[in-house]
Amino acid sequence: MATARLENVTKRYPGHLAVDRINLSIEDGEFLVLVGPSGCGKSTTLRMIAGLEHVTEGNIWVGDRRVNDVSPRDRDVAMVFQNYALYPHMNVFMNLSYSLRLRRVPRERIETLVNQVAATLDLSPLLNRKPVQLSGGQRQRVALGRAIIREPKLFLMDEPLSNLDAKLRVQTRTEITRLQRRLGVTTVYVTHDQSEAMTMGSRIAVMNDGKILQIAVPRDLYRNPANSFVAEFVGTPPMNLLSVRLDRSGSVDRLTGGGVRIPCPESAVEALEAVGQGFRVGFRPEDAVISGSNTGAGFFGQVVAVEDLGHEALVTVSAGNAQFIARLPPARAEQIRHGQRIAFGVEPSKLRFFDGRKGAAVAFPLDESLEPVRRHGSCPL
Amino acid sequence: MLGPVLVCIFVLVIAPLLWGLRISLTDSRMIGLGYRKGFTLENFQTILSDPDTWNAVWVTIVFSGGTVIGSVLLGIAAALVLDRDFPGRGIVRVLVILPWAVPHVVAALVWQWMYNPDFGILNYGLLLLPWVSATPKWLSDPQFALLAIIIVNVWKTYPFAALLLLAGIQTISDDLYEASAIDGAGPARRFLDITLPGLKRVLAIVVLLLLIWSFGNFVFIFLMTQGGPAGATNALVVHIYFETFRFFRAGSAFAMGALLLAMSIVLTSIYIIMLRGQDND
Ligand SMILES: Nc1ncnc2c1ncn2[C@@H]1O[C@H](COP(=O)(O)OP(=O)(O)OP(=O)(O)O)[C@@H](O)[C@H]1O
Ligand SMILES: [Mg+2]
Repeated sequence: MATARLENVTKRYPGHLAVDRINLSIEDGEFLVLVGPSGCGKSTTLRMIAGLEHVTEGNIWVGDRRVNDVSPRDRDVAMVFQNYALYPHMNVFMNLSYSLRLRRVPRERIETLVNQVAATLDLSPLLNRKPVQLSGGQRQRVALGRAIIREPKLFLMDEPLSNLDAKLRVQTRTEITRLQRRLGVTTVYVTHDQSEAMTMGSRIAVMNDGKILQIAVPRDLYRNPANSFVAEFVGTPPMNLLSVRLDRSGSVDRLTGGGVRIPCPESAVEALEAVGQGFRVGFRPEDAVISGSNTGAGFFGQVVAVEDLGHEALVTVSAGNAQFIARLPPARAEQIRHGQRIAFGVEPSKLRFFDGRKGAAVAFPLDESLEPVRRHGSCPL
Repeated sequence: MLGPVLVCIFVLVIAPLLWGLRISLTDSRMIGLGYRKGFTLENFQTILSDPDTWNAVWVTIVFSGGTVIGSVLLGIAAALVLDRDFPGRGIVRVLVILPWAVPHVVAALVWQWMYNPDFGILNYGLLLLPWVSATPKWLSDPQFALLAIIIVNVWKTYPFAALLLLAGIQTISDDLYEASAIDGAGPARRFLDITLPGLKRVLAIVVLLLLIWSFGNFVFIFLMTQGGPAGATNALVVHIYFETFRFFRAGSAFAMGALLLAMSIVLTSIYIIMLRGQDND
């Protein structure tokens, strides 16, 4: 058990910057998820922590020790690979005990530990099987077992669930988080799946293009994305975003763009004026208010799709050149017909603003909301 | 398809074998011609009681064993080097494969010159070493002749082993090396625990083929020592050749051929059974 710290860590491949000056501090016992689109440098970051890749610049600390030049075997970390990387010629017992045997742990102690881990992971009847004789889920558990048996300082996992089918994946998510909490091992978990990140992580670091864009607890990441990339990456469906300008010519200040006019919260006006003309306004699908009549807090639009998913319904509304998605209880959506003209509004306190060029969130004081909007531990863009 | 293939195998493989076995049971002097006794076990009695035969069997075993061990060790080393990415790898790859492409006759001539006790580059090089004062007369010394021939044969066959083993090494997933590195294995353990087990199948094929080939290898011995000096390199194939074409004892030559065949079959079977056993563990 330990903390880990990445300090301005950079990885440059010939002609390609894979990881760009990232800073990350992992607390003792926490479950930190690194999430981002394919090719953004998640695996590279994890592999640098493991010692499988050299750091081009910057420092990596595990506990109080700078490990830049420490070989993987001496870092005391364990890793679960996407393809599990089980030793094909060794049976489950030998796979689980490999690291212990290399460390010359006494035979009886090895047996005890293997049996303990096998019991935890439901592997006891499979100890004599070779990896080819196991199902995908069983292999995955052996890979987990091989990592936890050593009681490492750090537990690293690179998309360990991506080879499982959808149902098993969801089931294993909870198993992994429960196991992690019980063992209390500091964990860095890599995935490209934002819903996996949101359900598993105690904190989440969103990466794109080799940079960390925001580090936050799931709730903050969802409510207050640090920039428009995070806003669009997190959540299904993602945050509705629209490029707008501030129009102060009327009696009420409005946001106009794409043929749509939205009333602007007074408290945001000052901050938005400071940003200048180009910015984007965003809101979550569940913060949309749909009603039969125009309440004044919105605009009219036409329904282009209604998707009833059972536990929720997604209504797509087209207004001007823009489309928005609203999330409603299925009972509410039943009354909405395709092609219908409806009033579409957003509660002003739920609006979020992003700089049009750099995408950074625009901070502003909220009048009535209980959760003030601030920038959460994000990196400068 | 099966029919014609079976016919071909019969005509080209089984029939000559049976015919050879038939000759081994006669007192024929030329191949298949002019025998008085149509069926006799005398050939087998003669060769089995002849120390020359047992010498030839021993030479064959040492020659084959030496070739296999030498080629495999050198082949693994070469494959490990070629698996690395380094500048000039293409050229090194060509150099490693080169001996395989050199015709046997050319190889024999070149090595004969290198082995020359007075003008050869080998002894010249040996004498440069500070602790070497006397050099062997390679091909004409019974103590060194077989070793010399084995070295030439290893030199000729190791590229084959290296190529197959390199292909085998490249099928081993990098993940396994990385997993074992994290688990705490150093380079030696990674070789023993990941590379070698991953090469098991390829290694089996390489050993089997090299074994069969060196059992029947005739060229280098015939060209360089002709079985001498004093029978030191007189492998079974060479012995058989001289029995047939120099001493005109076709019957006993074919009996020895049968012996060689039996040795090959036994060795191959043992080997295959061993592999089966390993797969099932
Ligand atoms: N050995 C390498 N040489 C050159 N470029 C590399 C190398 N390994 C990775 N890259 C590049 O670095 C970038 C980051 O790769 P990385 O594997 O970390 O992505 P990732 O976030 O894990 O993506 P995925 O979700 O697809 O696994 C990619 O653009 C990739 O092409
Ligand atoms: Mg990856």
